[in-house]
Amino acid sequence: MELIDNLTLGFQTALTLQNLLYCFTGVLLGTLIGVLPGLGAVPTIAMLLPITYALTPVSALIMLAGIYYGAQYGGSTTSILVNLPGESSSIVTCLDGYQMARNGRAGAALAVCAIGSFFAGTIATMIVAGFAPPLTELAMTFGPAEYFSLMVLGLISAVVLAHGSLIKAVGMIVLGLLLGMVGMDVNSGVARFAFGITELYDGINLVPLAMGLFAFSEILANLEHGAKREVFTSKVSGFWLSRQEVREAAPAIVRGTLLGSGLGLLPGGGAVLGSFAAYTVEKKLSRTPERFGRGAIAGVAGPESANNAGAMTSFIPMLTLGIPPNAVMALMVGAMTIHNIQPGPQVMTRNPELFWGLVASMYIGNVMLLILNLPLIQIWIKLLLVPYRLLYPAILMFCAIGVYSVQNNTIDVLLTIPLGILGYVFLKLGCEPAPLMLGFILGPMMEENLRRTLLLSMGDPSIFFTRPLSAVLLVLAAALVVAVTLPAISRKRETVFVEED
Amino acid sequence: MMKKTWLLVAVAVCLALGASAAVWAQDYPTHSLKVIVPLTPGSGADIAGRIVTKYMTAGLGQPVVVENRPGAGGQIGTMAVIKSDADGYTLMVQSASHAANSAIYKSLQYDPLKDLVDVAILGMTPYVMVTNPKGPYPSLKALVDAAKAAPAKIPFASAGVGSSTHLAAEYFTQTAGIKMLHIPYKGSPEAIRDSSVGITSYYMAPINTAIGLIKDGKVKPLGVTSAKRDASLPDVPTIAEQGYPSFSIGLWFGMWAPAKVPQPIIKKLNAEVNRVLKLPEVKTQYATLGIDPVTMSPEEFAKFVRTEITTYQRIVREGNIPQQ
Repeated sequence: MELIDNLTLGFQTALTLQNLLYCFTGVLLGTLIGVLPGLGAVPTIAMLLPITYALTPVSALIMLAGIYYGAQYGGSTTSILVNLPGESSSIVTCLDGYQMARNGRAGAALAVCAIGSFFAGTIATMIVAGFAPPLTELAMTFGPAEYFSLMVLGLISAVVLAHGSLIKAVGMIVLGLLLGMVGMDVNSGVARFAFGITELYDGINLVPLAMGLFAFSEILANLEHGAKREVFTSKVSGFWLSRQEVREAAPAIVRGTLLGSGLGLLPGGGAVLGSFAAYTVEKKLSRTPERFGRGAIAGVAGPESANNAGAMTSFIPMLTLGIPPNAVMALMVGAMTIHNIQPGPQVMTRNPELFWGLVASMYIGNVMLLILNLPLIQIWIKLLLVPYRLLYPAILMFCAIGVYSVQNNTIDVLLTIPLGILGYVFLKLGCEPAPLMLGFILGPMMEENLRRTLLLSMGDPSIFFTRPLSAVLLVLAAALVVAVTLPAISRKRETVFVEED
Repeated sequence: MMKKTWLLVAVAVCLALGASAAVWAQDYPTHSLKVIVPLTPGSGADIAGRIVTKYMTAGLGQPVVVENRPGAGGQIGTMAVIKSDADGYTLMVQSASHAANSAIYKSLQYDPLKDLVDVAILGMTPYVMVTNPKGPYPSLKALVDAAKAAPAKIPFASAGVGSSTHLAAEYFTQTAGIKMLHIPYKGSPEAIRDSSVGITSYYMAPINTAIGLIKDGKVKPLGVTSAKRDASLPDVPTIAEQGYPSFSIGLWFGMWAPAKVPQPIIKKLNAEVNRVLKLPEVKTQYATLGIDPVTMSPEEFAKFVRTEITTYQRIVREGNIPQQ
């Protein structure tokens, strides 16, 4: 068995004392930056790159990779406890995770995140080990037309994200699309809605937007009641899941893992897309969709599994082709070259100890993360006992540091002020920011791929239906539209009948 | 009497200033240096900059820290360097897009020639034209013939409107006298990906992004853009030797400082960069990336930058590429 031999080699490499130590350092740092809002993997890895110069390439990559997937574990913590996404991939975790905390189930929410992430990490590592090359081939069949159709499907499912009014959800998606238009147009190179501010040429950054709309607005709302928030400290219970919760979370974890693994392969996908998709799927499949947004455990388990699975499988195109699917992987490719390794398909054959050592370390790292995170839960939920007058200035400070670190740019920090106020207005109007975020993330990708497809097809839109994969995605999107509107139609008919009576 | 005193004072001041500058350069650097890379971490200039600064730390006896300040094609980071103190402790590492920017942007907030002083070149690397190995273009000639038969119909990829990969490709179409359809992407990875499966006909890839894929046969190289064959891809012919003898363009990386940094410091930095580029460790690392560790004096580099700016301005003008 070649796979067994390879894995043996991998574990031999990863289980040396030195590599175990670097793996642990990586995942510990990852957990920490995950917990700290805004501070993401890219600046951390860039900052720590010089430290790895003295290490062997394998140790260096093991540590840097640990930072990335470790951050997926930590990112959910603040989402759940203070409605503040620690990473962009934990935005959806705010929806139900924070509500769970309000219901006194913060411990259970954190536990399901750790367990779901561990399961997803384990499965995704196996996928990387067993199927990396064929999956790469599969991902390569995804052209601009397929991307566009996938984004259409994603946007339509964004409606499902909201648990309130349909009109408001659609409005928020459109607003998200508009905000996503700010910045340089890929096709013409013209800066749109930048108002001459150079810092806006590349668009509004995702991190200040998420911070402003989720965290800052929440703080503003809490401060309405003086420095006291409607705290749930008395109700904080342990982190053991009830049998009912296990039954709801388990299938969500499996589905989230598969979905996240698939989307992680696609460029620009990574962890963010998977988490949104998993939430949508869970809500659609649930027999009690009305509980979503009010503390449904499946709404935490699915996305948190998906983001970790996506983080893992996004290594595949980087390792098998040397083509990085996201900014973190681009940096990993850079780290490889600094360590004298030429990224590309031959990494697997020419540096097998590196490839398999990294894969094995991912598995070990996930075990470490589980052991590290479960006891930490007791500490994290103590955060809820910290008086709010002390907690919120600390949150604001960490947010500001995190937002600054994304591009070392003060404009991003300033942007959180109007965005925070906007978020507060949304809160007052009962408009939810999650569909806006999805519109903001998907919109630019959708536009880019739509225009690219039409450029390539000389303006012929039939290409979206003649390419089979694209057609399937569009049919799914159409089916979803029907599924969303049908209940509304039937309900209207019901009321009509009631009136007639 | 009055005049004489003034003269003496002036002479004294000049001497003192000159002496202090010399002393300053001798002591320099007394604390850590910051190198701003106005591009994202992991980009070609970032990697080259990190390799060089890693070894400069040893030579200068002070840590050299890289800071990425990406945005607006490098303008944001460049402005940050220009606004910093001209004491030689804040430097910039950028790519050929420093020269391309002055051609592609209608109104730059700075003057690339007056607000910055050229310190040293960090290396040059050609582009390599890559295509789908199973696609309809087995040779450069096949591609050019196809483009002649269907003007402005055959798509090619670039890493963005006005990016150096776009301008290099545009330069080729001008040289070959053909018209092709430009498909801009948001960076190198997607552009090379779509070219490797034939969605676009070719991509003018910086060698470091394509070399691994070429060696494994995932993309087919049609030619390198340098005047001579590249050491890392000796079997790949140049575009020049395939019927376009005047064709030569490349990507390069350089170091700059704010304009008012004293000359002795510039000289010292240039000498240090050139020392580093001759180290065997740097040569091996550069070889994996396909970068040629050329060295230049500050004067040679300044002249080189000016020639490059003129070249890019001509490409933009002749290609009717809309300025941003």
